[in-house]
Amino acid sequence: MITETLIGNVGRAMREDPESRLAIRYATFASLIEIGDEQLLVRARDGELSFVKDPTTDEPWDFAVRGAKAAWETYRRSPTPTSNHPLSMAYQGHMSISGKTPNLFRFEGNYQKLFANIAPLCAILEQFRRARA
Amino acid sequence: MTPENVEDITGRYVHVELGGRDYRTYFEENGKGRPLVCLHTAGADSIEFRHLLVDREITERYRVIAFDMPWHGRSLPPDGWWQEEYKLTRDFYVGFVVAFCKALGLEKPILMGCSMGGYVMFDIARDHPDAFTAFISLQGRDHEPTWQGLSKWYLHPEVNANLLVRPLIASLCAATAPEARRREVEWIYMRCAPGVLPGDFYFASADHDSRSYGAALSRISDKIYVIAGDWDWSCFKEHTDRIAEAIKGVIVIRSPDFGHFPMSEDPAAFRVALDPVLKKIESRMR
Repeated sequence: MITETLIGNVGRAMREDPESRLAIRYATFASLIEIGDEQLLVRARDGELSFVKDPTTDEPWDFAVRGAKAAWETYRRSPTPTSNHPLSMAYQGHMSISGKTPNLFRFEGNYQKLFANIAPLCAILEQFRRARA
Repeated sequence: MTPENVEDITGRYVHVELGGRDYRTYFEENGKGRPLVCLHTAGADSIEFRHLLVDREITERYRVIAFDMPWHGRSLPPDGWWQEEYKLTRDFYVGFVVAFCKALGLEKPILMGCSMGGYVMFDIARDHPDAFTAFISLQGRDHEPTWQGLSKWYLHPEVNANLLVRPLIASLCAATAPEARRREVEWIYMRCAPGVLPGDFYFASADHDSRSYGAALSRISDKIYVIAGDWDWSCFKEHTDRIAEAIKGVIVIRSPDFGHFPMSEDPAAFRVALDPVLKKIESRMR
């Protein structure tokens, strides 16, 4: 799923979309996006984004967003109540009393850094939803 | 005569006494008829009901009143707030809603609240079943311990709570709701003062637990209504099913068209869900 086309389209959208530009300005973090067994490092430095596909251990990151390939495919289709937003996909399972509503995404790593940057992260993930792969 | 470009909403303050303290409380109202008192969600204020407050079909039949809880919106915290951590307790919340209605001299109003305002419906209905005509719980829950897991980060000095809250609110709104309305809810939440949302989460997650109220509320279930939108991951069908199992005879209306903030994110869809509830309340009154 993580193709050069997808990375290029996400990067372009983040530069060209006014809301995304506003969301990412001043942001500085490194986030690992894991789609099944594929990985992409997203680095933000003062609002400038760069991407490293299949990062090695030489590339540290602050927090990760992990999900099965099927979960990302669901996320990239039209939103539904259980695939509406990365936050709901990461937390809806915690609120389930039947156990039948699963978490589809998982946030890991430095939670302070994650929550300090959750708005720009979600802006990036929104472009991951929209961008052509 | 009011010019056409001025809304009919009136905003005023009422002094509410509770626990020996004076709470100068902001409220907005419009309309004539039986009072319909509206309780906002955690971390927000009465502006969430601005659409209902100018809905002529509603205000021709009801005196719609929405107020800001202390620490919220235009209701300042009481003097001394700087020396205490804001934590909304069940006792204070129930007591304040009752005291507010009394301070305005309201006669058996209909109560309607959303999210934490929907949670507290069950507490007020249990403690004061005869003081109100009906209780309408929007996105209500009997118990939800998860909210306060996020509280620390809304107070952390290196996390901007105004920015943190926005994706959370977006995640709770229906993707199908009008974009301008959904974004309006995000803005409402970005105005929240520091520590207020975590303080409200204390009620929502720690102090509110109505799971044992089933028998008591079943006795007045003809006065209790639950409206819930399918896009709210904190209030899926499994959550309202448990309420319906506990409160025998309660009416639950689910809508596929909104999420956690029905009156704000999609006022038209909210009316579709609210109208049959108001009709049932009216028919019971006859």
